[in-house]
Amino acid sequence: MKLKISRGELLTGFQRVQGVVEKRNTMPILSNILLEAKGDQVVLFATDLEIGIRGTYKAEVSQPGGVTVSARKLYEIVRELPEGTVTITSADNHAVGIEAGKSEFRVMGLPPQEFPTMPTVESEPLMSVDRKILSELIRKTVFAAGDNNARYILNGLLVTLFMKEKKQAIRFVGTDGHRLAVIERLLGDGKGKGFSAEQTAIVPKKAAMEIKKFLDENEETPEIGVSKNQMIFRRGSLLLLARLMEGSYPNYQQVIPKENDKRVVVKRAELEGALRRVSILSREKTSAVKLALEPDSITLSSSNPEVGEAKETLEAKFGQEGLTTGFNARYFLDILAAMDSEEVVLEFKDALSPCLVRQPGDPDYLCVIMPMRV
Amino acid sequence: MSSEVSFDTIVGHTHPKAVLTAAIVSGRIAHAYLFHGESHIGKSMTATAFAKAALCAHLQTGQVSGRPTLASCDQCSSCHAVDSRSHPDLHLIQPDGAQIKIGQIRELQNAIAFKPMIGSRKWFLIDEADAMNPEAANSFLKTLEEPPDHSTLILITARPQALLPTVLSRCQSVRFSPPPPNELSQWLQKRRGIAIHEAQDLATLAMGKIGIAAEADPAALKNERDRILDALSREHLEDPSELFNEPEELASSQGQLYKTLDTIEIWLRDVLISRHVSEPSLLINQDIPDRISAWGRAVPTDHVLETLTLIHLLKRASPRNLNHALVLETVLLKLRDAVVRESAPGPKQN
Repeated sequence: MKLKISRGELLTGFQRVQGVVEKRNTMPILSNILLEAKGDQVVLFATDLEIGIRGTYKAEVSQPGGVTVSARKLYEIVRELPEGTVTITSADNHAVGIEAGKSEFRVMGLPPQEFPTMPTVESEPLMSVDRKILSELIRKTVFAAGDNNARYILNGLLVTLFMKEKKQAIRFVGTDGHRLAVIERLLGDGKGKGFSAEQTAIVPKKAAMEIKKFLDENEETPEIGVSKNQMIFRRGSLLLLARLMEGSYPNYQQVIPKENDKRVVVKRAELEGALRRVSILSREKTSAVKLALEPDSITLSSSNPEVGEAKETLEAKFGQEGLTTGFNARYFLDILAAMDSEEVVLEFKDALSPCLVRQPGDPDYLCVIMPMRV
Repeated sequence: MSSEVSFDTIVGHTHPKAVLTAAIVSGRIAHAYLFHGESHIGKSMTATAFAKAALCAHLQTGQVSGRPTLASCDQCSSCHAVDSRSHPDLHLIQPDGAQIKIGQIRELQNAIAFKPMIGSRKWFLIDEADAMNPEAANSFLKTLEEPPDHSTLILITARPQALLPTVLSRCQSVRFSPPPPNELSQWLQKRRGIAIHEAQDLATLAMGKIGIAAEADPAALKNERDRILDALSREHLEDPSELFNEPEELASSQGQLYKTLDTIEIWLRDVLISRHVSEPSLLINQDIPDRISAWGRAVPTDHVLETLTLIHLLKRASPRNLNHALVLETVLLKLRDAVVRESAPGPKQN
């Protein structure tokens, strides 16, 4: 294999796969990236067996072929190279040569046949979705999904495609058992073929985060689709395949409170600031903050017998008799950071019931946060 | 290790192969199996062949004398991936050091939560499953109780009694026995390119353990066995300094201890056969029938049986915190009682 490629193009390609390159070494070859040169392009592919990312980049190929080599090392090399053209060659013993300007590198590689393949996806129907909507769906739910939850299914997002008022709609749900985020959005303008039946898939959190990274890269419209075992994301020549998770997602509808009749509207930025300040002196492990709701104010307080205590009062029209409850401030802050309205609505029932958080005028996005005894 | 495995190339194990073939043919593959039987007889290889056949894209089914047979095609990408140990839907868990640790089980639990990647089912082979430490075993129980769809766990062990009863009861048990001596020696003859009588000797020395016979040097095996048998000789058992010296070497590690106990067990079995059945072809130590019968003449059957019971008991005991030398001493002292009591009076009475 021999090819010439611009450093910028190569760097983009390597950057895109760094997130999935395996750090644990269950299968050493997974820390490699696969390069395949043919025609006037080079295909870069990396996978951790959960997510696969394949991108095509413009290159001047003088000898087609393929090789796999450490993704980390290649990325580090290319990052340090000056702007210009990079020449990549591979020898019969799968050693990869990189030349740029006056620098020369030789990195040991492995034969491309040993690299795990991802199933092909040509036949799966894809549909284009609004980039901003998809990004919003992920941003507003991904924080609530578990990170390393022993119930592995909670480390994924439940994605449902369904028909809503005869229009295509999509719903994302994330929860880790302590908080929950549910969002529904209409897809596009409602044209195109509808879905015959409701379709659900559980997408790993890591894949959702990678997709979000791609969405924020540029303005191009992406396409998504779900096959039996995986989710497909495509934008131009960039393809991401994510293996879906298996198992039954908990019945999240059950934990959405229906009778939270005590409602208060607060300025999002004010609440966020106050929570940040007060949580400095809360117990580190739990970040417990007490919320005392009065007819015209909310008082946030925290206390840690070993360190001290903090208190801050916000103006807010609660209009009902007092209620004192407690929450993990970090969970609250995550929700407030995901919302983008100026004000947020908090709905309570009593001291030991979950709190519902919404954006005014957006009935299709809601978050639930479980209370703590403070 | 040779890479290509399939049901055809596996020696013996007719019954397990029939059970597993039937499972694939009927499409009713259990979610958990327990493959148990002596070590080094091909359990793990059979497990790999089972997974490979089930994952194969062009599985060939046939019939031999009314029974269904299966052959993986060895051509499709799935078969290649299994052979090169890089199939994304086939996971192998082996002890990390002496134990299978909870971190390894957590990794399994993470992997099992995903849908299969290229196959229709995910396979998890847990080799030496008895090496799971208690934390790992308890954590694993959760997965065994509610395994996600499209997954099969195969627990492989030579010591099923060391597993939690709650684990055992959740697996379909498949018993493996050493392959018949003639099949094994024929295979060895081809595989190692040796004469048939050499192959037979090797099969004898390896006590039917194909994994050992395939690799080991026959002279070294014979040496090792003879050293253990020497320790059982009358002279050794009578001499206290020898009696207490041997265990240091013959039980230097847990693996060595079990090997020694196996050899003694088989020796005692041969003694019983030579005395009561007088059918030399049934002997495992085929090469030394005279030595067996000579030793056996001096020891009453009751004592042999008692010693065998003791060995069983010791093998069942938990291997953790075991003083290996002490275990072997116990066995040797028991044999000493048997051998020396029956003989002429001891030195004191002289």
